[in-house]
Amino acid sequence: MKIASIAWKEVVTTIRDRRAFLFMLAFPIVLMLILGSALSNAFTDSLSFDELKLAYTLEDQASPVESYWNGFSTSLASSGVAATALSAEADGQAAVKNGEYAAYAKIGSDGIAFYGSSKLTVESDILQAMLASFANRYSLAMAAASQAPDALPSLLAAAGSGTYVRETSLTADRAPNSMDYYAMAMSTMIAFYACMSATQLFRSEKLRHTALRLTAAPLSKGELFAGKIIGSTVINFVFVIAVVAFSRFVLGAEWGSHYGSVLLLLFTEVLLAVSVGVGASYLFKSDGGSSVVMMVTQIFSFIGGAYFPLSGMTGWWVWVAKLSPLYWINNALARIIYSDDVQAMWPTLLLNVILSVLFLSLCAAFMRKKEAL
Amino acid sequence: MNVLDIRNVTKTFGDFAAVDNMSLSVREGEIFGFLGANGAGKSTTIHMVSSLLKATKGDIEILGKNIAKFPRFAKANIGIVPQDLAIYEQLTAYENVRFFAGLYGLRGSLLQERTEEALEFVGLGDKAKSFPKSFSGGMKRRLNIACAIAHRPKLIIMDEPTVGIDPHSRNYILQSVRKLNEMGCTIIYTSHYMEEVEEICTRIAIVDHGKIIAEGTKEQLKAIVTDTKEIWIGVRSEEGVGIEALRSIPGIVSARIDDGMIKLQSKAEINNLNEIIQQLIRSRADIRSVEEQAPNLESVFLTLTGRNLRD
Amino acid sequence: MELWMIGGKASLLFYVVAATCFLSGPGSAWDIFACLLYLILNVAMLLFPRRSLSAALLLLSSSLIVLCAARLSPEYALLLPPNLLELAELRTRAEEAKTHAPLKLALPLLLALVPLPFLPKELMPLYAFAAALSLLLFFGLRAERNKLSRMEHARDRMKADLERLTRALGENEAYRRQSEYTSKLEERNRLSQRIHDEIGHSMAGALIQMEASRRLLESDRAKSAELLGNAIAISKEGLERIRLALKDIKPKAEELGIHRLRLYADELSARLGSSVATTVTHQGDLDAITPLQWKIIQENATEALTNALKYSGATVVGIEVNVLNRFVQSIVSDNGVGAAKVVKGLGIAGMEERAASVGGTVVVDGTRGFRVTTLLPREGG
Repeated sequence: MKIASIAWKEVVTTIRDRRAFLFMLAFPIVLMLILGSALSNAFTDSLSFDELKLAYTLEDQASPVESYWNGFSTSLASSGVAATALSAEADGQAAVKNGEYAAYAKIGSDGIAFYGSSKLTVESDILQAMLASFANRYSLAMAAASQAPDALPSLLAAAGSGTYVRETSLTADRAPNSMDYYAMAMSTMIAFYACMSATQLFRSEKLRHTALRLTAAPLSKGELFAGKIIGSTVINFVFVIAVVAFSRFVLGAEWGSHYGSVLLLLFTEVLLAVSVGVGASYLFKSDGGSSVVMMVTQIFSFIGGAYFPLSGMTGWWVWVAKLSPLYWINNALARIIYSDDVQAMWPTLLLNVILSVLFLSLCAAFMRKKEAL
Repeated sequence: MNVLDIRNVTKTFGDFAAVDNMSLSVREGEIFGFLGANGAGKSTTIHMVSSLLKATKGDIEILGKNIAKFPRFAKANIGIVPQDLAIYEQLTAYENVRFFAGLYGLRGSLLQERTEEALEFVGLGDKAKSFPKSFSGGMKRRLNIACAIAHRPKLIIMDEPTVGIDPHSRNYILQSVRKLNEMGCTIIYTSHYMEEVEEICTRIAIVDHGKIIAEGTKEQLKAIVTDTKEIWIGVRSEEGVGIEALRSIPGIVSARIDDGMIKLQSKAEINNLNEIIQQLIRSRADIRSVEEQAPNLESVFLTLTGRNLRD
Repeated sequence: MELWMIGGKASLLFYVVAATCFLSGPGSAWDIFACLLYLILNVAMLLFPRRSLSAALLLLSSSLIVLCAARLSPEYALLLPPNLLELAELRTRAEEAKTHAPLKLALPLLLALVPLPFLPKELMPLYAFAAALSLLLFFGLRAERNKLSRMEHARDRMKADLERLTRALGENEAYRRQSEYTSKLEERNRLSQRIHDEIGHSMAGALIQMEASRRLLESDRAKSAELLGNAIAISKEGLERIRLALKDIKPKAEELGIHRLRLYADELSARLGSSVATTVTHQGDLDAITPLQWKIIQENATEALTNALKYSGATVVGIEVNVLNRFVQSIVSDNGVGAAKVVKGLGIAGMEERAASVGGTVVVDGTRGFRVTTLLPREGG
């Protein structure tokens, strides 16, 4: 019962502390909004262009390429490519350099010479791919015609028309967009921020002189310790739930369908954070603990992927990232949310709990030794 | 029955002995004053009694039970009013008292009842739902007291409960201390204000450098330095003043007249001013001024420790 | 002591982790779990000094190791020796007195070797190696601990000896003073004897002469006058002797008390040149101070003065003796550097002891130069 009332007091005082409230709720939500919308480009998998401008010259008007090309250019027009025929004297390359066209193709009987723009790289890449597939089909048609010359016209017509862009997605159907990613990253980050308030858990009592009352009361250090840890974990977990709920229902972020596992994982993370915070406050004298924890939290957040996704990282960076609890947790969460891999929760969960127990027993040992709080 | 027994207690921090082989007993029903300058060892003693510090040597007993062996019993019977405000700014007055009383094992309706009672007692009944932020210094001090008494301790330790507050609140607190005492609480009171201690304490100990250098009722303490008081009476004319007659008044130790000033030395405990004045009137002396200088605690403290309490 | 054992365990654990998780392919989650659990159990052991609890934790940890060795990987058995040895240690400590020396050696050895036959062959030498190292560490620690406790005993004994000798020294000193005092008493005795012998005899002689003179007053006037003259002469002589004897006694009052303090202070100033000014003041009725109290005041003042002059760099030292209504108060104060926190040395302890012998206290204040106050309750007050 005494444990409960200490926990209750911890919860109430934290809720009524406006700064903590703002810090733990407004801060992650604002960051989520800013990072989620500012970095949306980094996550998108579609690009749109007004018009792909292609210039071309047919060197040999009489060759079978011509009829074939005509079919191709009409189908190009329907795909949003504006193909302009240049006269043989015009300098197509200069036009591309000036940015008038995205690419210039010189079509001869022995092949296509392609000049892409170095400024509009994406457009020129697309055009190059289209022309390459045109060339392939053309040579295929020519090879077929050599076997059956009669069929040449119809083959050519078929080769010229049709679609040259096939949509194939490289990524899975369910990949996070920026808001999804930052909703998760900010939630795990804010869960870990619990360690900052945890460093003040016992110090604040000393500063407020209430430590004296708590020690004078018929209350074992264990009860006080348990009550404070429980209270702090609960209230910080409530903040995390609020952030998760806000991201889910207001921002529409993706949290998958295994809410139980997600929340359980976040809970153990809060517990770990609180243990680390309390541990630091015992290891370092005076205010040293909170500044160390502040720095460590920032570093963990940074290398753990709170500010930018780590999917593109390779090499030593991954090794560094693995040191951050946020990395393990973000990874586990991503697998639960996007791959329905609930089992991914267990290693991280166990690690969190065991590390918490280690830190807490260290603190308990310190506490037993000390005379006062 | 002694509420508190301190026997040969020493507390050292490193080489420094903050409390040095101190022995002290507080009997039930006393308001025990603890006088000492800053750093004299008062707070350390109080902290040891309330289990905040462990004695390096010696025994402390609360109601006859050793606090090292029965810490819960000792703690449950003590209420401590710390020198610094020890309340939560984020909790209302009611919640503050309730939280601390809850730590003493009170539950449910009893907890509620005692909380309200304690708030009423310090005159904050109507402010129960307010936050301490809106309180004056005196009200905060009173809340500080309420937090310590809700569990009805046998021994209340008040460490400078009146620091930095207005006279009205101070009077209120002193009244409360008396009332608590009448209700059966034994009280240990420390203060920098000699007048307060002199006013309310039934027994006083003077502490200096971790030692009790004198202990007793205020009369006993005053008698340490001298048991006489000086009475100076200014008269217009030295003629006709019967010095011999004055000498024969009970309690008078010596009498002389010096430049229009009758200087009498009298036993401090005898009130003979009336007889002296009557004698002077009978001998038709023309009295201009009467001045009595009895020993006070301040001077006792100064004599014994060589410094003022507020140094 | 414990730290060494922890170190031993940690290095074994490192080896086991390396062996299970890195050398023979990546370890499973169970391996990590087992290692962490082992860590927790062994850290928890340090938290609980109660023997029953540590024993329970040790047993738990040992069974965990056995389980891991059986189910996960036999390398875990390497962690076993320290735990078994600790168990043996708990047992021997429990029966410290009863256990014989050979058993003390044999029990840990046997315990550590018990698991050997159950291990796979290729692990046997490794286990024997680990067990041997743990045993050496264990025996080394035990020897160290025994040595430490022996030395502690020796130190305690020496401390007691020192105390006893100090006390004896103090007693001898007291004896010396006592004999000094006794010799003074003897002196006084001799004096009174002298008064009695010489003055008494001469008075008696004078009386006899006078008596005879009265008898002869009528019959032989000349003889009577002669006898009377003799009597007068004898009386005169006696009176002179009384004066002399009294003169012998008189200086004693000067030697004691405030005069002696003054004398001592002057002597000290003289010895130290003119750099330190000493003053002696007093207030109240000095007659109320008993000789014993004077002695204490004198000795404490000497001690305090010596300290003040030695350490504080003072230029003015004041000695003050006040007779209050209930207390006799002597204060030695200086204007030197003082000390924010006074650390009690032997000198102060000595002063306290002296004061305590008559129910008084000594307060040393270092905030504004040193100020040593000796408070002695007045006798009969």
